[in-house]
Amino acid sequence: MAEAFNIVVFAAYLIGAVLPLAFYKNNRINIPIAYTFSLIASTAGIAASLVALVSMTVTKIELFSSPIFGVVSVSLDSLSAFFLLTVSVVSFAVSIYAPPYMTKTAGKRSAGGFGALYNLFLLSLVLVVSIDNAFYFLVFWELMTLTSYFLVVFHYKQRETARAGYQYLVMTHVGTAFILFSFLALSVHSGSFSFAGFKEAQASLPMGLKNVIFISALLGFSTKAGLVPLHVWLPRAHPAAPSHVSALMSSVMIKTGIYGLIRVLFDFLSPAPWWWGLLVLILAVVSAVLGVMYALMEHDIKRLLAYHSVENVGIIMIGVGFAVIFSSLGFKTAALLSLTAGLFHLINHAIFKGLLFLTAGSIQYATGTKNIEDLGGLIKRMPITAALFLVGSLAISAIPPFNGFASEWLLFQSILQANLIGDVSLRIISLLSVPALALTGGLAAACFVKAFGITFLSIPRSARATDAKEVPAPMLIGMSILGLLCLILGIGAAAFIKIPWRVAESFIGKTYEMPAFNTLLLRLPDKLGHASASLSMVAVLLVISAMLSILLIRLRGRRSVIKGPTWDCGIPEITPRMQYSATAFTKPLRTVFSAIYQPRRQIEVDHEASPYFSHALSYEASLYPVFERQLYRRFINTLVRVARRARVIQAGNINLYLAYIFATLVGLLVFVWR
Amino acid sequence: MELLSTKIAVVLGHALFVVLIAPLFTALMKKVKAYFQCRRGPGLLQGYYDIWKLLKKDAVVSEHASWVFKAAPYIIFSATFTAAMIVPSFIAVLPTSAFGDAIVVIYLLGLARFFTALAGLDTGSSFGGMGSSREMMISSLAEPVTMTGIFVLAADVGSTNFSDIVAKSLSMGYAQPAYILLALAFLIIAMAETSRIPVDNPATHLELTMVHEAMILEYTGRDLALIEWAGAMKLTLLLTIIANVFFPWGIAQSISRPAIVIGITAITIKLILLAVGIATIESSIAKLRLFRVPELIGGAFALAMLALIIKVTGLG
Repeated sequence: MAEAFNIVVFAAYLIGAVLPLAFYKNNRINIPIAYTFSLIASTAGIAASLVALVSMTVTKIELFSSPIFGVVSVSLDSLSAFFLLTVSVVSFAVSIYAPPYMTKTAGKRSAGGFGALYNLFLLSLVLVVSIDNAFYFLVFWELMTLTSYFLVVFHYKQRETARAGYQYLVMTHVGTAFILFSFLALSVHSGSFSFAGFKEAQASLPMGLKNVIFISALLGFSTKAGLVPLHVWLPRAHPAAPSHVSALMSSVMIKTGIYGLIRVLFDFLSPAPWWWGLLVLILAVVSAVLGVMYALMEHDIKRLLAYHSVENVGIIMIGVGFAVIFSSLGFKTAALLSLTAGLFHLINHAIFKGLLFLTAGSIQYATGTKNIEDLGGLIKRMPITAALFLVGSLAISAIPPFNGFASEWLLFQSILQANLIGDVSLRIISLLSVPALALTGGLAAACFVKAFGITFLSIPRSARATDAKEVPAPMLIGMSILGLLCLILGIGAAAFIKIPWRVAESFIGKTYEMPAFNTLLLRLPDKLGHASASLSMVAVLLVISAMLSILLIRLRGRRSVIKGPTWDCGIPEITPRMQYSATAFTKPLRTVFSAIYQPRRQIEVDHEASPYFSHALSYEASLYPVFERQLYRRFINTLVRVARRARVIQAGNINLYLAYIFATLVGLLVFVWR
Repeated sequence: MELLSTKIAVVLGHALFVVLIAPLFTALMKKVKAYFQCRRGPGLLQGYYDIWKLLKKDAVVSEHASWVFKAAPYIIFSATFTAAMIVPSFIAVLPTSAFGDAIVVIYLLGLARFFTALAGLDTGSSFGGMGSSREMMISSLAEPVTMTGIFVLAADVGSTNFSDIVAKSLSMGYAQPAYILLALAFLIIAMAETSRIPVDNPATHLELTMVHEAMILEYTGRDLALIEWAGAMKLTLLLTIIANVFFPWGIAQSISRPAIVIGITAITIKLILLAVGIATIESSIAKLRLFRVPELIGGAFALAMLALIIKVTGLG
C-alpha cells in the first residue's frame, strides 16, 4: 500500500521536475504543470506516511543496487514517515497556494526553471528523510541545499538577495562538511554505508570517537536547523526567497536538521551520555530566548518570522534534549513524553509557520512590501488573510485552544519530570528551562500582537496599504488548509498524540502507557502525575460562555451602536502618524533588554544659521549584531590575517615552487623508507 | 447518574459563584482606598450597579475599528470565565479542573490579554497603542515568574492540576519556607497582572500612569461592561489561587451540603481579607515609574527562583 503511494510520490516529483522545462517560455503552462505534479506527489506522500504510521510497519523500496555502497533503498520507518507527513502536509497547502503567487512574482521572467527546481527540492526533502544509506543521504542533502539555494536567489539581481544566498551556501556547506565527517567516521568504524550497518556497530564504538561524532553531527545538523549561534544565515535567506519557498524552507527544510540529529542521537549513537542532552538543552534554550528576542525587534515581516523559526527550533530541541537526558538516566516514560512533545511541536511549527509565511506572502502580493511599518488597516481590505494570520499568531504564541499550545503544554509537563533526576544541580539547570520557555511564550505573544496589530489594524500608513485587495482564491485555499489544521491539531491533540508517541517508542522502547486517556482529554501516563488538559472542552467552554454573554446583553435590551471618530485629545483629525508604530511598540522591551540588544541610534540635525532652528532631522536606530560582530567577524578577521601571513610562501618565483616540490618529494621518500 | 448530576450542579454553582461574587471585590478595594484617603467611597454594591448600568447603554464604536475591536469583549469575557471555571474556589475536587491545569489557566488569561492588546491597537489612538505596548512588556516579564511558581507548587504533587495542588497543600501544610517566598512572589504578580498600584493605576486616566485603562479607553456601554466584569473576575481568580494554595483552610473536600456552605463562607472571607490587604498596600505605596517595574518583577522572579531551589534541593 505505502509502496505504491511512495512510487507515485517519486514519479510525480520527477515529472514535475522535467515537464515545466519543456514549456520553458510559457508561464501560463509551466506554472500549473509544476504545481499540479507537486500537489499529486504531496497527496500521495500524505497517504503513504499515514499508511506507514497507522500500520507501524517499515516500508522498503529498493531503488538500485550499487557495487560500492550496497543496495540503496528508501525505507519508511516511523520517524521517516513522520517527517514525510510533515513535508507532505505543508507542501500540499503550498502547492495550492503557489500558482497565482508565482505568476505575479515571475512577471515576464520564465518560471519554468523555478517550477522544476521546486519539484526537485521537494523530492530531495522526501529522499533525505527516507533514504537509509549514508552516502546517498549526503547526496540528497547536497541536492536539497543546492536546489534551495537556487530557489532563494530567484531575485538574484537584488544585491541583498545575492548576498543572502551566498552566505547561506557557505554556512550550509560548512555544516555539510561536519555531517560528512561524522558519517565517514561511522562508516569507517562499521565498514558499511547503510544506516542498518551503523546501528549494528554502535555497541562497539569507543566513547571518545562517539563524542567526536556527536559534536560534529551536532554542529552540522544544527547549522541546518538554525540553532544559535549557527543561525545567522536563516534570517537572511528565508526572507529573500519567494514566499512559498520561504514557507517550505522555514517549516520543512530546517526540520531535516532535527531529523538528522534525532537519527544520530537515538539510532546510531545510543545509549547517549546525559551531558549530550544537557548540551543540546542549553543550546536549545539559548536559541529559543534569543530567537524570539531578535524577532521582536524586526519589522520586516518575513525576517520576523524567520527569527521565530530559530525560537521554535529551540523549543523543539528542548524536547529532544530532555529526551536524551531522561533516557540516559533510565526514565523511559519521561523520555518518551519529552520526545513526543518535541515531535508534536515540530509538526505544529511546520503548520503554523507555513501558514504565517504564506500570509506574509499574501501581504507582499497585495501591497508589494514586507515592512510592517508601511502597512496598517489591512483587516478591512484583506479580511480572510487577516483572520488566517490571526489564527497563526495565536497558534505560535501558544494560546489555547490552538496547536502550538498543545505541544508546549506537553513540553512543560515533560520538563516537570525533571524532578525525577537524582542529581540536584542537573535538576536545577534543567528546571531553568521553565522560566526560559515561559519568557519565550510571553515575548512571542508581544511580538505577534505587534505583527498583527501594526499590519492589519487601525489606519493604513501608506497608499500601498490603502489600495490593497484580497488575494486570489487558490492562495486563500492554501492558507485556509493550514489554518484549519492549526485548530484541528489543537482541539484534537489527544487523538493525534498517539502518532508522535509511537514514533518516540520506536527509539526508546515500548511502555504500556500513553498520554491520551481518551480522545477528549489529554492526560499524562499515570506514572508521570495526573495533570490533564482538554483543549476540546476548553473550546466548548469558551463558546458556551461567549454565547451566554451575548445572550445576557440581548436580554438587557439591544441598544444602538453609534459610529464616531476615535478620541484624539481635541486635535481636529486623527492621522496615521499618530498611531503607535512597530518601533514604538517594542520600545519598552528594547529598553528593558538593552544589555542584549545594545541599541544604537544616530541623530543628525541640519541647521542653517542658528542651532536652535533646525530644518532637517535624520534619525537612525539599529541594534548591535552580537553574533555577527563578536563571533563571525572575529573568526573571519583571524582567517584573513592567517591568510596574509601564509601569502609569504607564495612569492611568485618559479624556482621557489620547484624547491617546494623537491622538498616535498624528499620528505615523502624519507617517510616511505623509514 | 446521580453522581453526574451532582457534579453538574457543583460546576454550575461554581460558575455562578465566580461570576456573581467578582464585582464585589473591585468595589470593596475602592472603599478601602477611599477610607485611607478620608473619603466615604462607593457602596459595596457599586460594582454591580456599574455593570448593570453599562449593559443598558448605547455603545460608541470608532469608525476605524474592525471586527477585532467588537469581538474582543466577548473573547476576553469568555476566556477569563473559562479560566475561572478551572480553578477550584470553594470545593477542592472541582470536576472541571480535569479540563485544564495551571498552565491552561495562565495561557487562557494570555488569550484574554492578547485580544485586549489588539483592541488597544485597533482604533488608531496613540493611547491604545501605548497601553498595549506596556501591557505586553509587563506580562511577558511576569510570565516566567508565574510559571516558575507553578513548578514549585507542582514539584511536591507531581502534577500541575489545581485540585491536586490544593489537596496537597491541605495535607502537607502550607507553612513551608518555599511557600512563604512564593506567596510573596505571587502577590507581586497578582498586583501587576490586575493593574494595581505599584505597576499601574486603575483610577486615573493620565498617560504617565495608564496601562490597562489606556487599552480599553475606547470602549463604551455593554462592551465596557463585559471588560470590567472580566477584569473583576481576573482579580478574583488570582486572589482565589493565592487564597486556596497558601491558605487552604475550610475548602470543601467532598460534595456534601455542609462542607460546601463552609467552603463558600471560607473562600469569601479569605478573598475579602486579601482584597483589603492589597488595597492597604496600594494605599501605602507610590506607583513606580514604568522602567522600575522590571526591577519589581525581577524581585518576584528572584523569590520564585529561590523557592524553586529550596524545593528542589529538599531544604523545605
